[in-house]
Amino acid sequence: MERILEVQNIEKYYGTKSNLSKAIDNISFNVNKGEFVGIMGASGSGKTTLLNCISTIDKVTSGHIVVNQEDITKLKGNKLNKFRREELGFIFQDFNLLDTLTCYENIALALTIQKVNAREIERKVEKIAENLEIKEILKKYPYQVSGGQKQRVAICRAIITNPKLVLADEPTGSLDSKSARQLLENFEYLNQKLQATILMVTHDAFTASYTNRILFIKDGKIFNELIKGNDTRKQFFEKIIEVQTLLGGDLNDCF
Amino acid sequence: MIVFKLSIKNMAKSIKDYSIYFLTLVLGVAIFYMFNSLDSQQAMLEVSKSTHEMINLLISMLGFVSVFVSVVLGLLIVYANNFLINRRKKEFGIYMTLGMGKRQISKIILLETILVGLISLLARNYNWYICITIYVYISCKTF
Repeated sequence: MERILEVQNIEKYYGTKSNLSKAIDNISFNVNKGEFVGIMGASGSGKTTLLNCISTIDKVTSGHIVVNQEDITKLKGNKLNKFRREELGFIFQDFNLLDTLTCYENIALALTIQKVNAREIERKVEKIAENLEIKEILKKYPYQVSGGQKQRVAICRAIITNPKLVLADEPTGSLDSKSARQLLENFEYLNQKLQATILMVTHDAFTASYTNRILFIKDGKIFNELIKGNDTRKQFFEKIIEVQTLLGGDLNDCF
Repeated sequence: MIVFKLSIKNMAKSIKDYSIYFLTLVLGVAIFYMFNSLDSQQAMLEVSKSTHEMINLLISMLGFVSVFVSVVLGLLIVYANNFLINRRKKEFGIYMTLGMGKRQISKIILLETILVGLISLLARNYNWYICITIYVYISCKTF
């Protein structure tokens, strides 16, 4: 299987020498093509820092991150822009859509930056919007549509460039349970039908139960790993809860 | 093309933010012109000789003042610019995560600034005309 992401012994320190805090402490893992991986952990465990490092928003203190045979910890300037443009798709908790543009333009922006021609863009946007059932809101502005729809627009924007890796930081964090479920089904669709590789950070056990594999992070280290295998989602969910109980104290965060 | 479209749209949408910037520029430029074009006014050419000497003295003094004014104006514009950029930090962040380079983002900002500059230049012509009339009227009355 093709290896999309390789994280090798990364560390991330914050603060000065006298007051050092380790956000990530020697984490290594791999993600293969077509996997849907979840990262779970309590707040402050370093999961978002990990995602920020992988997404090149933040820089690691030591270690290497290899995406598609390219060490991204060494990328700079234009190469970094190119990498973000072509290999990564971002989905955030608070959508991060541009209010000045319509939903259509928001999705198209990712492609226009790549200088794809207008007709091609239209074709691609139409197709992806139909798959995610947001075709009727394409002409509206982000402030005119609901949270779930906004997040689906954000997903469209993230995956329209056909990125190697989609990074999602608590994508269901600001959605109600119904929209969240719908969104996760969209994720499943992307993963199974379009073979998108997704890395999702979450602290919610239900959200995590949609993934194929979960990494649990505690105090900047990988604490446990759960693989869904042939379990049903309900069984997987129960296993997740079990691990969370072992992690201690986190159960209260979910309910 | 996308850069141009974004600039126009951004400007139209953030007209409220821009109005602060806009007002600063309009007022600044108007005041600056007022200070520097006093001697070439019609009303000034028609005053008596003794008043003319006094006005000449006033103008040479205003020369120094206008340096001061331009420094203050410069700072004001820089401040207004920073204020605007700070308000839009997040937007630029989104551009960057989508893979836009610094150069492309600078292009957007540059284009927006040029557009605002052009509009304020037009507005200045009207504003300046009103201001200068009042100004000249007052300075002629005082002597």
